[in-house]
Amino acid sequence: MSWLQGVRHLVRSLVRRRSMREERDEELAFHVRMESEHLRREGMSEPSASAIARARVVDVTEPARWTLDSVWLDLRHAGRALGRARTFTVTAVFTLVGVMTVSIVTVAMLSALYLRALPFQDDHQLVTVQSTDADRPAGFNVSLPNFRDWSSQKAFSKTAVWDMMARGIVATGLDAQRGDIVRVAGDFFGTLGVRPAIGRAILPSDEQDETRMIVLSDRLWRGMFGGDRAILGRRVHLDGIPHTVIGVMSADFRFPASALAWASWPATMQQYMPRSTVTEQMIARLAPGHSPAMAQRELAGITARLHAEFPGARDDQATGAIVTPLRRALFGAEGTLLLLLGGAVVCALLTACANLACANLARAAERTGEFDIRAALGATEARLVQYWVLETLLLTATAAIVALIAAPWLLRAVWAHAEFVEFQTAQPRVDLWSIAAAAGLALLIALPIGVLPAWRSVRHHAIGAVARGGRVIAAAGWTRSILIVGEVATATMLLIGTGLALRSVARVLAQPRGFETSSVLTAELQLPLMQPVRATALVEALIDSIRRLPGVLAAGGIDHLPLAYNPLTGSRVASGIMREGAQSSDSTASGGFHAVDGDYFSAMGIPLLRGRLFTAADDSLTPRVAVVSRIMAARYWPDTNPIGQRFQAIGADQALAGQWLTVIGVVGDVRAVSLEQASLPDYYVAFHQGVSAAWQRYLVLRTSSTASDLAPPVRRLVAQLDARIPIAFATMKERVATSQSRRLFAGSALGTIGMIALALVLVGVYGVLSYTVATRAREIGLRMALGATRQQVQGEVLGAALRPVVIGVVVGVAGALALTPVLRQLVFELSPNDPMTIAASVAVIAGTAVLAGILPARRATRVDPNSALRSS
Amino acid sequence: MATDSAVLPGTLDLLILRTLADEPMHGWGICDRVRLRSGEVFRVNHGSLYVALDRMLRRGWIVSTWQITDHNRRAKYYELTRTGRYQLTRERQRWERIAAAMALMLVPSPGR
Repeated sequence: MSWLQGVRHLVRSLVRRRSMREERDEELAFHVRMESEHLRREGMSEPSASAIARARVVDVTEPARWTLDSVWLDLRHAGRALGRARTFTVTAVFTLVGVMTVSIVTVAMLSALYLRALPFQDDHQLVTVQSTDADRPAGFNVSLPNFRDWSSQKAFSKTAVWDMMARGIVATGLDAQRGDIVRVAGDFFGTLGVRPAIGRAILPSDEQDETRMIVLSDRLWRGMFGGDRAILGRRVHLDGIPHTVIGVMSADFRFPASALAWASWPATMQQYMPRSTVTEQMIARLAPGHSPAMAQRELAGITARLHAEFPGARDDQATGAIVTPLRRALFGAEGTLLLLLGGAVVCALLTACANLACANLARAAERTGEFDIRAALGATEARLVQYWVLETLLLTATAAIVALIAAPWLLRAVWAHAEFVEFQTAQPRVDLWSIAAAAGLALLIALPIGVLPAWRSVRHHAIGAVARGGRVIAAAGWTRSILIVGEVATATMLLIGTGLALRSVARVLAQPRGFETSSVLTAELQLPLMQPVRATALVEALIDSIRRLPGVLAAGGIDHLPLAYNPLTGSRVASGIMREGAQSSDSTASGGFHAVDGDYFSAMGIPLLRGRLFTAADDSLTPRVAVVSRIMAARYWPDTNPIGQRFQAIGADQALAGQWLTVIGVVGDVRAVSLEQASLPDYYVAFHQGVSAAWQRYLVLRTSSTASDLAPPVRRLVAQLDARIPIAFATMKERVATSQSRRLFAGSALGTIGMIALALVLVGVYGVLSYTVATRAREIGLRMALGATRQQVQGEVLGAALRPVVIGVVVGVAGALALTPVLRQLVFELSPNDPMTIAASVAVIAGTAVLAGILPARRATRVDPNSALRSS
Repeated sequence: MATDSAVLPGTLDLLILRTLADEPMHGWGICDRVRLRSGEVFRVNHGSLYVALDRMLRRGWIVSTWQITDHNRRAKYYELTRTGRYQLTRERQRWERIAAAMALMLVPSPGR
């Protein structure tokens, strides 16, 4: 408790300087008076007694009035001291720069996602609404009828739905561009609270209009129309259907980021969407006074009522709804990841600070002589604290400036790999928040680390040469142990996180994909505007010539490639399924629509399980056939042979409307949307039999050697066919890696920070141990002179150092266990408390600590007992 | 002959602690008491005194309170804490060790 009083006194002497000064003045005045009284009693006469008393009691302890000069002096002194201790300064600055740069980058990314507002009006009122059921409590898409029901709730002031017509192609007759077109219903632009830069937005009333309308993105407007201001009223063709341009959005509107244009959806077409077709994304603006939770409760009530009252509503897949604030829905996963990384960065920061504090303590101990002199010359504790804080501030400020210079580079590099962030509404940059963070860090690090040695050096009292060595170590050893414990704990937690992330990636990659990835090359084709039949014939000819290339084992094409889209839009067009002989009222069936040509299945390595695949005999004159996936066969024809069964595809492709498809084969399941999501029912039709939107293609080739080698020959073939066709290559391996970019990003970021932390632990343990050995040389020499063997001494030195390491590991593991809910976000099919990962991390830390300790321990044994005893 | 109490660093602390062990005292009183009890050998320099008192306050060996003296004046009195008493024992033992060692040193070597 006495140290507490000591701290209190120190704080008071710093904080209440004036009252302390006044007290000191009063005390000295009292002293003078007593002294003069004493002199009078001894016989001195009056004026002399007081004068002499006053002359004797010269106040040498009055705290010097603080001037700005003292700061300047201290800074120069600190600069010289740092210049002399070059190793320390360089190591410290490097460590700090590394950690600060990572911190600034993290703050910049967090600021872009969270602190800067979304470009929508009052974005805190915006929410997304998703359906839920017993199997999918996390939410899935909404159906149009559900949207109509839910829109009428008073919880929402405005609502809208949208979906991606990813097969959209916009054409003016001279030029065509294929890309993501967003189909909207409800008050899309009104809900978001945005206005087009030119013209007007699509309104709910436009749905009654048979005329199709389209709002262009700035990108499309400039690219296709050259920024022509007379754009309003012009006609463009979307999938062959004429649309009138009514507006152009501003350049910074990206919802979603890849959208080329937004198209209206006439009510007459909307009626074809049953309750069972869940393809829409719903957004809404909350009415004033309503919260997401309130809205969610209202919607759940409505849905339950609907199901009870209307049997027809059993088509509805949704049993409830989930309402999420838009920002969280957009950035939920990414934000959590970044916060996790932020936590890791904070850990690394703390580790670096711990190292710096240790080193500072050691230097303070070495420099006690210097500070004793300063204290004797009248420096107060406050000045000493000021000196140490300024010296540390000099280090941290230098590091902060260098970090701010380096940060933009690192930010650019990191962001380039952050492909998983889909809704880039604000570009991360080193903004005011980042600069503030850097400055704040510099101060926050400097203050405690600066005060610590000051406190120590002020407490240190030069008792006498005899006791000096031991006393210093004993006093500071306790603090150093705590710092090592902290370092080791944070490094342990970081390593556990890294291990979990990387093992999760391995688990994801080990999931049954359903398709091959080695030696498979894919190419994304953008065909020019032409009749669908011609487009299909073109692609077939292309596939034929590709098949004849040397090294190609199989070649085919498909409209949506697995993993080709990000998880938000999916690479799957869901449609309703109506089996022959099933009552329409209990069909909640849906399946993913795909159109293929060539030998797609063998090129992708998807096995044929029953029946046959498409042949050249299946053409536009023969009855339509389909190949279904294993899950689809098991779900919709569980007890019979699916071969020969018939079904209709609802809302998939205009060419299939009202047509019966006969099942001719069953193929293996494919994880198309994401490697982490289980396979869903899929069915495949042949382009050769006629598909209305035939311009989108992914070519797939299986090769006998390196997949990417075949890119140039394929490019040449395509150019020979039509030089205008753009083509983009990627191997399936690359696509798989991209799909895992979020996890890989987390794993590599955590791993990097973990490596830094490990290096810091290495340096820290080594430094502390070296210092201990160096200053305890006499003690060691004595022990060896008294008969201790080298091994014993080595073992003891190592053991003493490893005690705080062991405690640190225990604390670290406990911390990781406490952070289980956070770590859960990181893992895939792995327990956040996975024992093997924890054990491996502990082993790595222990190994590092032992490694760090070996050299100093060895040095301890090389101490010559005689010379050690002689030295003092 | 008055000896500067900084002969051996730490002596001053011992003197102050010992003085305060008897009763709480103000700064001047400590100087006076030390002077008297040591038979005028130790003259405590007030500058060193207040520096030492500050140091011991920081370490929690003593605490200070403002009180009224017999002559109705305000003075800052210092008092030993429990830590201070413990420290006194340790300092005394250390002093005795040093004194004993010095005594050994000053014994004439045999054969001279």
